[in-house]
Amino acid sequence: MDVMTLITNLIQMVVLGFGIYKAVRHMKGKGGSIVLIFFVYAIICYFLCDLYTIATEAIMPNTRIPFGVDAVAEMGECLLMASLLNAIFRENEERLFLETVFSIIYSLAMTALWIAWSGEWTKDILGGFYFGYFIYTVVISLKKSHALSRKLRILLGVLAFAIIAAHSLVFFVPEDYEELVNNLAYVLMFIGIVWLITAAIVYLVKAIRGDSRDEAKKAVAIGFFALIWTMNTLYMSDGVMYYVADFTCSLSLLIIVYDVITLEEKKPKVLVERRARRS
Amino acid sequence: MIYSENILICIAIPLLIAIIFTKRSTRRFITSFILGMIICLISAYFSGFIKFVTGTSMDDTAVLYSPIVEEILKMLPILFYIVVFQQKDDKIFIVAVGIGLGFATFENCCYILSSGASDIAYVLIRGMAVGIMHLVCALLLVLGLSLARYFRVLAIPAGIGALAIPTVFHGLYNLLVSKPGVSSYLGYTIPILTAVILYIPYRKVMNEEREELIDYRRTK
Repeated sequence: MDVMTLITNLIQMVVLGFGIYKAVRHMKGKGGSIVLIFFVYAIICYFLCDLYTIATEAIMPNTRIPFGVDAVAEMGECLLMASLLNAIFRENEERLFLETVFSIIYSLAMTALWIAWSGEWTKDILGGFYFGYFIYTVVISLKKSHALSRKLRILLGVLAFAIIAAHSLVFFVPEDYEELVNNLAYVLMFIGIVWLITAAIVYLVKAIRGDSRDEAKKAVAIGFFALIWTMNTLYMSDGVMYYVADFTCSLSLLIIVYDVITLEEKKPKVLVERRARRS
Repeated sequence: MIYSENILICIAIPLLIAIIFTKRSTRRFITSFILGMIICLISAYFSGFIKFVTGTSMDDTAVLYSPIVEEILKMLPILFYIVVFQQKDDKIFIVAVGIGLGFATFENCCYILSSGASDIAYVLIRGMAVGIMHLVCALLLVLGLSLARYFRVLAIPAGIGALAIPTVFHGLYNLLVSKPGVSSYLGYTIPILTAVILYIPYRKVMNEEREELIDYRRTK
């Protein structure tokens, strides 16, 4: 069994276990809400997915699984996280044409790349659907929360497509330039990670210090964007970079744990008291 | 070779007759129990078909694909019950428990008939692990579906997401017990541990409801 896979998965499981503990503790003290219950459900799914990965690596290493329980687990965690975001931002009405088009084109391009790399048509097409849906939800949440200005959102979109373009170029350039283009893609991906994780931490601190629920919503939107960016980088990386991306994914999950708890703490006092009485 | 259909008929007939003489929740439980056994048989057909199509071995099919098939088939009647009859949570829980137990009972019957029941230790482990595992999976599934029901916006992704947890739990159990040794012992203990973890909050809720009922009667 690969030691690094074990370590990164264990780190992620510790983070998720901590998230479950924090959320359950919050529910005990101040009562549960649909957002918090969905959050616990989503991270339990994520936790089980990691456990399953470790067990598969230990018991059935190097087994080709075209579509199995692991794919269902990934689908579950993406859809539950997307549902959680829908629950948080369902009240905000916005026009979302550009975001929808971006999500569809990006998901299609990403799925094509996955198929080109792995050759697993069934798993990758299905993965494109649920991951694309998650991307769509995160992108519209970012718009609805007004966490980033229009210019910055366009810049992020351009960066995302530049990464896809760089990865696609690897198939067409002469062998001498392959490594250069590949490294360029990694540089772009990790610029995005550093940018988004820094922004997520800044927004989280602002949300904790402030009283506004809107600030907390912004922090959630940025946190989830950081998560999806790290997840995407993870799926597009290889070797050492894969483990680095996996570690950043755990970091963004930790930020999300605090984001969701902070959002729950910023609830109107009447609601909190009513829930506490009921629980 | 065993004749699973004949075993099903043999177990189901007295239960079907019992439905006539019972009422409400007992009738609901017996019906869902029979349904659970039928689902077990159908999922065996499906798993056999997937084994044939993918060309994987019997063991690999049981580990990799059977959990998905079984959990989807278990979800369908519960989903039908939730969507069509719009019942309360406690009634849905009875149906889920019935389906889970019916499934586990029929699977255990077929397994014991095919491989013998002479070793009492193994029979106990089988009953404690597989029986409880199907029950826990059904409870996890109905918990997720109830959540998805209350969460009215885009319930379909939430419902599919809710299916993932019992599927991974089931897959993890099948994977761990597929190899003898430490992993199988871990696999056998996971369902019991989860049942205990689920029982503690359930018991707390039940006690609170009972106390509320007593208070209500006193005030009356």
